[in-house]
Amino acid sequence: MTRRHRQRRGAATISTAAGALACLLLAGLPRHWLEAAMWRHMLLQLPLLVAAGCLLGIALGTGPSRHGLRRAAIVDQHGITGLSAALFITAYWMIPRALEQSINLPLSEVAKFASLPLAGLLLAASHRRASPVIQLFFLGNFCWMTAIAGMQYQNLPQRLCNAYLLDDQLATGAGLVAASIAVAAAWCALHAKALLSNPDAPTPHATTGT
Amino acid sequence: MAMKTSTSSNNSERAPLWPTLAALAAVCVLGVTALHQGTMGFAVVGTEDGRRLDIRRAPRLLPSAAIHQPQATTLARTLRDDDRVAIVSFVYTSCNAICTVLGTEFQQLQQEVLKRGLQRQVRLLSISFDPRDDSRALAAYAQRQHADAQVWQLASVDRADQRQALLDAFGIVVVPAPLGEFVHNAAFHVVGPDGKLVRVVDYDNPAQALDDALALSRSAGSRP
Repeated sequence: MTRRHRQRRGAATISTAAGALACLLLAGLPRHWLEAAMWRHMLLQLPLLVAAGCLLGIALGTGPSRHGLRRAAIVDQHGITGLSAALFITAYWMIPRALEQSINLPLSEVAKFASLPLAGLLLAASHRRASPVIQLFFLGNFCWMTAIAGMQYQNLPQRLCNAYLLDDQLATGAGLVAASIAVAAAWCALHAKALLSNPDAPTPHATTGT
Repeated sequence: MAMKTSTSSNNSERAPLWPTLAALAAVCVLGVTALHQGTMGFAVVGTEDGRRLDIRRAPRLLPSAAIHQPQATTLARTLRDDDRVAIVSFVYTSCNAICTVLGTEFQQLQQEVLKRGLQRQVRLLSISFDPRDDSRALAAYAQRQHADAQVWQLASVDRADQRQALLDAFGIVVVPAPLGEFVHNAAFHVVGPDGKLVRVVDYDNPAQALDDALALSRSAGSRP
């Protein structure tokens, strides 16, 4: 690897890490404002926290500690451990009771600010180890879960959180359904080229096992 | 021998699967435990259902907040001095939405209590969480609702910290809504003379609230 190449990669690592920090600050500094409405809480703050972890994962994957990260593959073959953990974490924060606890209990707030970046980090690290089929399995689970939660938020006549108004809950439900469709569409757009050109060839992401 | 060599060389190329499976099992156990905790044993998803289940499982001792009825007293004292079980609801007197419903339910409960002659076992208590509700506002509200002072009393909380402590203890969350209204998790709260909140019943089920209050009254009366 040339020196110039290495320098360029170093700059990319630093800007990605800065992006992670920016997401974390955007989710944390105005947290009272974000958490005052259910839609801002679920559709802005939670994705920002996941994005922070995701960008950190990408930065670590290209940064000096990438070899250590690769060693984690021994407990995360095909990315199934990391993707499962990310799925559990996102599922937990879709429970309205858990969401509301995070605005009342400091311990729960700390857990939210720790677990969702972790989910993003695992997503970034594990999806590289997962073949498109495995990615699709977890994507399907996530989108199905998000859409069902979104529909429930809209169909139930009662408020699920005491801190949020019913109109807010309806808007959040619609937003969750839209988000589940958007995430699925984004994945398809990213993989369409690779899948359409040669469905049998491994994608550049799918370096499993080793 | 040749077999063994080929297997070991295979292993060095492909990492064994068992560490991944063990880690996956640990993730699943942790994940299911978290979901179990978040839904109180897969019983609830919403906060209000959680509050009701929590109180049903473990009755809460209420704080001795300073209240006015309109004379100054504390919640603990008014509950103790009156040996009846209280059905408590939270209101604000300028309310046009759910409080009117709760008020009507309380009116029906009052009629039921009087009709069945239960006024020695059960009473009704409306507590206002609105700082604008002074004694005069409460008196006007009581008159509007035809509250019989023997059965149905009202209380206001003057001090903001006492009010918040009381709301926190009950688990009432008041959210300001458009047009000067408040949205809050309205319900019937069954409270014993010992100052313990034992049951929360939905406001569309006043008969259940009365049954629970009578059951508590009987169990308290049978105690030595």
